[in-house]
Amino acid sequence: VNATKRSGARTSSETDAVILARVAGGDLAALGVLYDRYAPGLLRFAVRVAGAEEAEDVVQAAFLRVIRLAPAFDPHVASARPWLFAITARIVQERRRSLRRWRAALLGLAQQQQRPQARQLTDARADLTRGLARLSVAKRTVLILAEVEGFTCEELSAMLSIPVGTVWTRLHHARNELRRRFEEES
Amino acid sequence: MKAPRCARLWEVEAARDGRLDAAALAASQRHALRCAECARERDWLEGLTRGLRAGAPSQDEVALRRTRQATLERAAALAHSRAEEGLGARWALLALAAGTAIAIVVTAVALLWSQERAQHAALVVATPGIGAKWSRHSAGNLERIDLNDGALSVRVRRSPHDPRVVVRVPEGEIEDLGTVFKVTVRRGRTVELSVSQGVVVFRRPGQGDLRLSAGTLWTPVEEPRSAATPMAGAPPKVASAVPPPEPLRSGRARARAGKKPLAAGRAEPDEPAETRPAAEDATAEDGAYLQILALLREGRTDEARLAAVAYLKRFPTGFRRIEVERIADGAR
Repeated sequence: VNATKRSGARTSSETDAVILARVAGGDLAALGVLYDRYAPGLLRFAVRVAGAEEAEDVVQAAFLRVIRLAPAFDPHVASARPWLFAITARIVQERRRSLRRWRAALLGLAQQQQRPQARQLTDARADLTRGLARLSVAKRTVLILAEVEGFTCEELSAMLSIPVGTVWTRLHHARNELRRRFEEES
Repeated sequence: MKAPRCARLWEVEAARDGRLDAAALAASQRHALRCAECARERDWLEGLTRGLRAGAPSQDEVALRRTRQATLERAAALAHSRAEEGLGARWALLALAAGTAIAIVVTAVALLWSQERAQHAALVVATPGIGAKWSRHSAGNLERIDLNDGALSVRVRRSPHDPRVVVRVPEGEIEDLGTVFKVTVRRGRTVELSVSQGVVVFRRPGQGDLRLSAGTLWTPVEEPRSAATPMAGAPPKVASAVPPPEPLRSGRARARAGKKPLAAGRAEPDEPAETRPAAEDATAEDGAYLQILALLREGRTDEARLAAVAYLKRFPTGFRRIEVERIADGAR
């Protein structure tokens, strides 16, 4: 393993597949390049799904897993983005137990915000945050990946290794739960 | 009362999720232009998307850099530990190879040792004749063979630290000193003992030890007949050493007599059988008597007394009967 390899300027034009091949060869500088490309989106996604406290650790875990999985990356696939989001989503799923604690903490905060004075300050974004916190991890993940990150249902099916019908169902239930939440709030 | 919902309301969400084909999508979009409920549904879904995207946390550059640093550090540590694991695996492989080599050497040594033990155990080979009744016993430093009847050939290859090998016969026991011999017992009596190689000691209570060397054939003395033997009345022979009390015909003796050495296990062929008992009796009587004297000289009074009793039993009309009776009675 050569942890001190320098990728140089060529990394900016290299495809994800080439970078991942270098990661597979033990080039940690290539991992840095991949991080710079995708970490912002992954961190944002992780914050929405797992909470800010857990998000950084989730992203770290995702990139460490990339080192192990890099040799298996299909070199014909143009972008590693869906693959990286899938890894991150899987890690979030694996940490469901700790995420429940985050959800409980968030809901406790939401209860406090329902006091009359605070309620006036509450806007739709806060309602949405509380609504998201009430969703299950699976539904929240699908909803964020579809609505925020823009993955299609077919892509989500492949990324999460679930049937596309399950993706549709989870999306539908997630929206309905949020709708009910908004109706109750209003 | 709520207004009835549009039956095609579901198409709005289906269109967003890509569940409709191109024709159905176009039809749904046309319907939504006319249907207020479907238009509201579309607006709500679009609003939800906008809200979710707007609610996304702002990019925290510090957090990103912090996470990057931590990720790369952890990755380097992981790579280092993997390299160490690889080194450890090589050492483990080396240790395994060394262990295997040691195991092979130990196994080989153990095999050789067990073979040696097996050879050691096979130092005594007893080959019984047809119908022989015998048994073999091992106890401590003694390998004992009891021969009750029949012929038994024994081959012994022993070194000084090996167990003693003793063949028990009705009259006593034969101790093997590392040799090949054959012993035959008939009707509770040893009738023949031939030594092919080495030396055996034939011990019979009250009759002293017989040391038989290679080429010797021993046969028992016939019971003395009531008639006086040719030797009766002759003066006792006094020898400085104890002569053999039994008819021994060793190869050396035969050589001195100008005869060929006797093949092991074969009886004397050229001596007339009818002349042998008397001569043998006299020699045996002399031997028995001299042995009694030898025991007395050595102060082994009890053994001398037993030997005297045996003498009287064996030679009831023996030439030295009176003197021996005294010894047996302890008068002397």
